[in-house]
Amino acid sequence: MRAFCLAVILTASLAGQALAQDYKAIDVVEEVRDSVVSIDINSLAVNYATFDISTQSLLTRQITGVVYTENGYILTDSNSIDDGIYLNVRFEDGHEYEAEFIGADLQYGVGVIKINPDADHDLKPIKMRGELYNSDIGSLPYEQGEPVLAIGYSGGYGGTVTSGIISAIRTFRNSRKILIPNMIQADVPINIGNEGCPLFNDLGEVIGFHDIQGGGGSLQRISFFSPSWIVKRVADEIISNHESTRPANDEDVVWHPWLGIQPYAGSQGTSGLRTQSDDLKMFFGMPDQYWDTGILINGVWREGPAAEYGLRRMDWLMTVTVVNQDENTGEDTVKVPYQLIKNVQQLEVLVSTAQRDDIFIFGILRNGNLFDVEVTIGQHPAATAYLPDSSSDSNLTRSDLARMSEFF
Amino acid sequence: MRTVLLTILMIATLASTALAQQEDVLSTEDIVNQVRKGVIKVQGIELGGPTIGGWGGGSGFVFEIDYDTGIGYAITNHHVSGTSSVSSVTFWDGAVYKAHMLGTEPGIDIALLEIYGLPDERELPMNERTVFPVVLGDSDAVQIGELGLAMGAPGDFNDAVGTDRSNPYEAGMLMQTATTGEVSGRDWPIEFLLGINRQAQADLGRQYGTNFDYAFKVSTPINPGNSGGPLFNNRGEVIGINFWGGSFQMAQNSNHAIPINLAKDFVFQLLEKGKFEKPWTGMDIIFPNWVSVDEYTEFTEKYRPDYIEIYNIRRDSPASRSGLRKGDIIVSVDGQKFTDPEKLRLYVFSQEIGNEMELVVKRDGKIIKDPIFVEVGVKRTYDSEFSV
Repeated sequence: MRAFCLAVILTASLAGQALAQDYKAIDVVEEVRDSVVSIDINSLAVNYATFDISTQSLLTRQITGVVYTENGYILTDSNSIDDGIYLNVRFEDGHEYEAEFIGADLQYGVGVIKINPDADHDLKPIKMRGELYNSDIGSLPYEQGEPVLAIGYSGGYGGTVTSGIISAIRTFRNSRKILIPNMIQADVPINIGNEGCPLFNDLGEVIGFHDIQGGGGSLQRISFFSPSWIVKRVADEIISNHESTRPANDEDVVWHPWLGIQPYAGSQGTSGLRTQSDDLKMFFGMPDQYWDTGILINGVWREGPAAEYGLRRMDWLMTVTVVNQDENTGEDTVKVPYQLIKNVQQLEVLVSTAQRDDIFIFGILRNGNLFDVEVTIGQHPAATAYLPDSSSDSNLTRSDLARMSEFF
Repeated sequence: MRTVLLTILMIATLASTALAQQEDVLSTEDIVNQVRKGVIKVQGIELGGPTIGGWGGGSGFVFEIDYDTGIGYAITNHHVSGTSSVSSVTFWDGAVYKAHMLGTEPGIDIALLEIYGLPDERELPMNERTVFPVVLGDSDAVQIGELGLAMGAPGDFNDAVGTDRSNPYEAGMLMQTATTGEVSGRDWPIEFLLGINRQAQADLGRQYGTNFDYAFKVSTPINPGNSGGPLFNNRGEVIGINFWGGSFQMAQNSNHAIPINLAKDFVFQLLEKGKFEKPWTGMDIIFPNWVSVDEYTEFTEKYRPDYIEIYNIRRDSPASRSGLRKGDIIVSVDGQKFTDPEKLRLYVFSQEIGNEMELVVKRDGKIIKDPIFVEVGVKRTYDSEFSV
């Protein structure tokens, strides 16, 4: 009889182990459900035919957000959240608050709003993978094929849970055409109302925020998510700028690294990477040892960092080293070691992941001479245009902004 | 005491079988890791442009490599590269190889590619290899509700995020996409229109003439560009070939895959004999209508007869030797009545070469008493795909 009991216990424990290894969506949902909120953006729709105020109607847009801090900061989508006359935040457990708009960054698709929670309501902030981008794929906090969950305000049904896997991890352009490494492509069903919706991994940590649908929505279950490291950086900057008491200055703008160069429209390589054609290299007298290297500058933005530090049109960028100077000690630390520039995307990723005051040391080819030029990376001039109550002191015209999309 | 022992034994065996099943089943990460080096993007290279109508190719998978010659064999769809003799093949790491089409069969929408110049990686450990073939499974054992994991290169045919496809930044970017779902149905009949013109072929993604009764219905997302890509089960074996994304995205999660067993016959015969011997008799019973798709549908509804007429007999074919004549109406084949020429085509396709079919025909309004025996022969390359 004892043996029988033992056998029963053994099988029971084996079964228990097998279950514990399995990914259980129900556990993740249980853990994070209270952190996801439904946001109603209520705005007044103006009748532009008559401009009659009496015919204004209330327009409600429904998007998703997540609790970021215990004192009530909520992360959500950036798109037109400051249009609302009031923002209504609703939790799944029935709490409802009116929220205040804090800030938004359209280029990275991050919006921040704030609520003042009731004394008896303990907010439960999400856990977020905030590791900075690492070019070593092996150290990514997520991998292709991993099960993921999305929770959102799908079609006006708050707290809708959908599941899928990570379809791929790509270096990809987000909705504002910024090349971002480690964008997540997932096959979770995403519907209207899922804007700003978080993507959870099997541990209940947020690894991404919804950015854009593949094919403009014409493809089945192909959705792209901004990686959490960039969302976390932008959100932290928006919040610290809001909380700082010092007078506003350039530092108060969310960091948008920018060189201000426009690469020459290159020929298409075998895997879609943008390189220059052999004809051009022959015309410019490219040295043999650098034949597979180099991108040609078609234009530099006036007053941009590249122009300021002496880069010119028709320069070839051949090599790059990124160093960062410590403010206190003045010591240089090499952030990205010396490398040859093989294609445009390689440099774009280095720019989009650069930090403030990074110095790019370019080896350039000009008139047949090879020499080094140091460029301290700067702030994107259009970044101020995205401040919530900016006086828009930058004198950029609409055509400037349109032209600027070709520069990075 | 004996009963107790028996129970222990029973429990032990139950537990062990349960564990054995557990070991076989892989997580989705492991499946993707195991198979991604065999999944490829295929682009047919045709005269006068890469493909018809701007379609950017599809997907495929390598299932065998001959390391001595550096030749790999890959399966894709007929409508991806069946009309181009040379294709370019892109692997997960961006490496591009040239591939030659060994054979293609529009009836089951399968094409076999031969990839040249693959590296010899026999000595390398598994994680350092750049190409690793996938394992073919058994699609007869597939049960409804099983995992179906698709891999491929969807969305390449147009701008994926509202950007210009001619912009070299964005070309070829959705390679190695993995999507999951379940096998939601088996043995679905697939009938694509036959004999439509070339413009209509482009509209339908060239899936003309595809006709078989055994398609899988899957809830896995299959987008344009996934065509020819593999569908894996939860052990990482190929059970199907993704080929059609439902009703052009009108229905949700209603996508289709070809069972791999249908492809195995075709592929292994092609590899062993160097050619695929398609069962064939030499009757023209399907009239190619050189009209648009809309007109064709209207035509079928209004005028399609409920009998099969032989409107032509191919020269030097088994049908011509058997005594069949132009204008005969087929009453029955092997005792079965056929009213749909495409069903008869499928019946002939399933015959073994050398078999004799017994045809009862009506000639000049009268049924001929003696049945006509037609030996199933081999289709010659120069005979039309529309002949049966």
